[in-house]
Amino acid sequence: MIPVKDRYDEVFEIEIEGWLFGLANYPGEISSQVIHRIVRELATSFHLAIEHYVVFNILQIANKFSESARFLIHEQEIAMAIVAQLPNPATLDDDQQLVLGMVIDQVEQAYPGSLASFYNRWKIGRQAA
Amino acid sequence: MVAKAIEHARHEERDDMQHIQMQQRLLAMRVIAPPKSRLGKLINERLAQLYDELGESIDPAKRGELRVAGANHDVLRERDALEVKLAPRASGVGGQGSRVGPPPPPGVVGGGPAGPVAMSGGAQFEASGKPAPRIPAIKPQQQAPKIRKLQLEQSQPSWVWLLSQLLQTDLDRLGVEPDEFNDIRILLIKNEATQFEKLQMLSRLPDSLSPDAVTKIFEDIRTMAAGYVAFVLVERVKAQVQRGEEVKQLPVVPRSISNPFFGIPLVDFDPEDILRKIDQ
Repeated sequence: MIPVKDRYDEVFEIEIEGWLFGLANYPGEISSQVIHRIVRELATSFHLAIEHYVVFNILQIANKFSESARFLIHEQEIAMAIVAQLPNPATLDDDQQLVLGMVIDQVEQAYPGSLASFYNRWKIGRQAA
Repeated sequence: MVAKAIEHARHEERDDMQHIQMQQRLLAMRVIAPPKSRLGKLINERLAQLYDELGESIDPAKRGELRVAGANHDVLRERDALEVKLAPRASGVGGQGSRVGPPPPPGVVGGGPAGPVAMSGGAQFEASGKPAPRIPAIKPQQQAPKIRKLQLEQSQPSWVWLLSQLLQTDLDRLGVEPDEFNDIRILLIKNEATQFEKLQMLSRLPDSLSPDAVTKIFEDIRTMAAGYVAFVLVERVKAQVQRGEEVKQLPVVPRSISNPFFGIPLVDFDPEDILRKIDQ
């Protein structure tokens, strides 16, 4: 197991909890657009988490987000949205790629096929670049 | 010369737009102001004044379009008088000073807001001393299906309903096809809702009408998240202090919550290049 750098797991945990608190306490209805917006905003945090070797549980995060949004958005949709925001493996070093692989593996086991879509996404990205 | 003419035309157009906006605001205000109140009378006076101004100043080519919005009062009055003299209209929708539609909702004095035509029709006969012609009552089966549907759907009166009735008369006058009716009405109501906001009669637009609704919700959630994070971090530092531990460094605040610009790549630029351009 690769040790976490700079205790970033604590920062990441507080960050996710903060967003969950905001979602849970928002008085109005939460739409999927809002959830996708938050996930997009968290993209850099996911990058940083992987760079600091934090193996976060996407399924757990997706489940909590769904719960905070009064289950109006399915956790699978949220999990896929998070996967779409993960960094390109080509930009990571070996250890970071390992962390990314561990993160994605949980999703792949729950929702088979997500890994393939992940690779397809970055294949397209590489071609465009 | 040409530029001056263009500028003049633009100026005129701007004035016309201001007049139309003012008219829309007044129409919107009239919907909620009781007709017999001081405010209601003031609004009616200002509207009449505005119609007169528009009737005199607007280019004849634009009169048709303004008449649709109920601006050209004199032309409408003449037309209404002609129609009344010739024959009462069979359909009766939107003309002759009568407002067709559901009965006035409870709480609205005088049957709700009257459009410009509705005000002018009877008034001119009163002014001339002649009794106003009796307009035959419209039977329910003569009404358009849309209006009947609206009657059924409308269980509670609201300003949107009143406004839609007001606009319906204008659209009828314009000759809009029934299938285009609803879209145009929605657009007009949205426009009126914006006017309401400008007038500060509504504290905010309904979320469904606001293009920035998602952004607003998102920023509200971010603010709450920031409050939570600040609370948690302060509690952690306090706990450290209470335990007698030395606080070596301030806690790291998650950037996605504290800094909305975090993660957005900066634009590459050369300051020397900019300075060179300024010097030139």
